[in-house]
Amino acid sequence: MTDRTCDAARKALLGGRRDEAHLAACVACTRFAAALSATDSALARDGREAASAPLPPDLRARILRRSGSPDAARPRGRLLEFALRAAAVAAVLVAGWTAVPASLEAAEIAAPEFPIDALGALPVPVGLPRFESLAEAPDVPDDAPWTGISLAAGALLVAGFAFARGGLR
Amino acid sequence: MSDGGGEAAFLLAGGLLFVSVPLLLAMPAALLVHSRRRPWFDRVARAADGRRTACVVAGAGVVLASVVVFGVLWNARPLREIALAWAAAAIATFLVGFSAGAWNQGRRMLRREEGVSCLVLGWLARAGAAAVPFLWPAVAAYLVSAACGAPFVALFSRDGGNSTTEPSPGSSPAR
Repeated sequence: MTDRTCDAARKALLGGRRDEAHLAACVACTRFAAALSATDSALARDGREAASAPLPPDLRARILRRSGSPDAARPRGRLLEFALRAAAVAAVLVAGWTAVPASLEAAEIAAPEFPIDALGALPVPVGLPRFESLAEAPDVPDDAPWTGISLAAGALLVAGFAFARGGLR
Repeated sequence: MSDGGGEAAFLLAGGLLFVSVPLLLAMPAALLVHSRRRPWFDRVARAADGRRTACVVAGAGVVLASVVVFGVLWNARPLREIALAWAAAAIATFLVGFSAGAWNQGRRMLRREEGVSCLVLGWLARAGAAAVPFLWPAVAAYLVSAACGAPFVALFSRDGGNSTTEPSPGSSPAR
């Protein structure tokens, strides 16, 4: 049996064809064909097992995170998420507005009767305020709705905790 | 000069300090946390990116709770120093969350995973957005809420802030 004939038969085996006449006459090529068949069957078995086995959760999460399109993800949840974010920001704005000292409304500056020359006489503090000056700082209004703000803060914290533990982004 | 004018000037200067000092502090704080506590910083960054709604909601709760505590203690005059201490703690929370958000922003803008340049560029973008008066108050409130909530979510989320819909850096425009 010539080497060239064996090479042609082994190339045919690798290509999925069997030269039965050559394999019947050549022991080495018959062994090669058996080894190739065993390798193919082992690969097929591993492929079936890999197809049915679940991915490790962390690897699955990483793959999804890297390949997921954010625009296509959870279209129905986006409106809810936007509403929740807008409500949270609105709560912050309302709470900040109600807790601002009344004197900050500072109508004198914006009012038309305020003389513009008087701007230069405003006592703008230079440097950091002294610690003792805290006693003269204006009060937060006593009539601020602390109960409502407290309840809103509690509700938001509980909701944030639930979202953090749950699946909502 | 009326008292109202003096108080307005005091509060305007105080407000400017309250906004600008944390924003300025955010850069060295970001560099410090990024270099010294990298796993924790990464966890907060993942939470700020993957759990944005949870961060905003929880952060709004933190801000409101801070407003209540600060307001009540501020009116009880002997306790004003405690109010300042509470504000300092809230600002520290804000700094960590703001740094993580800036890091994410910079990674999306530069389409890179690593590098201090991501931190610097993200800080410039976020601090600039928060410092433009025209964008006040909604953008600043959103950024502050999200920043305050990010450490909270990173602390309590089961998966460290990971989300299956989290976009990879560079896969979407900066939001």
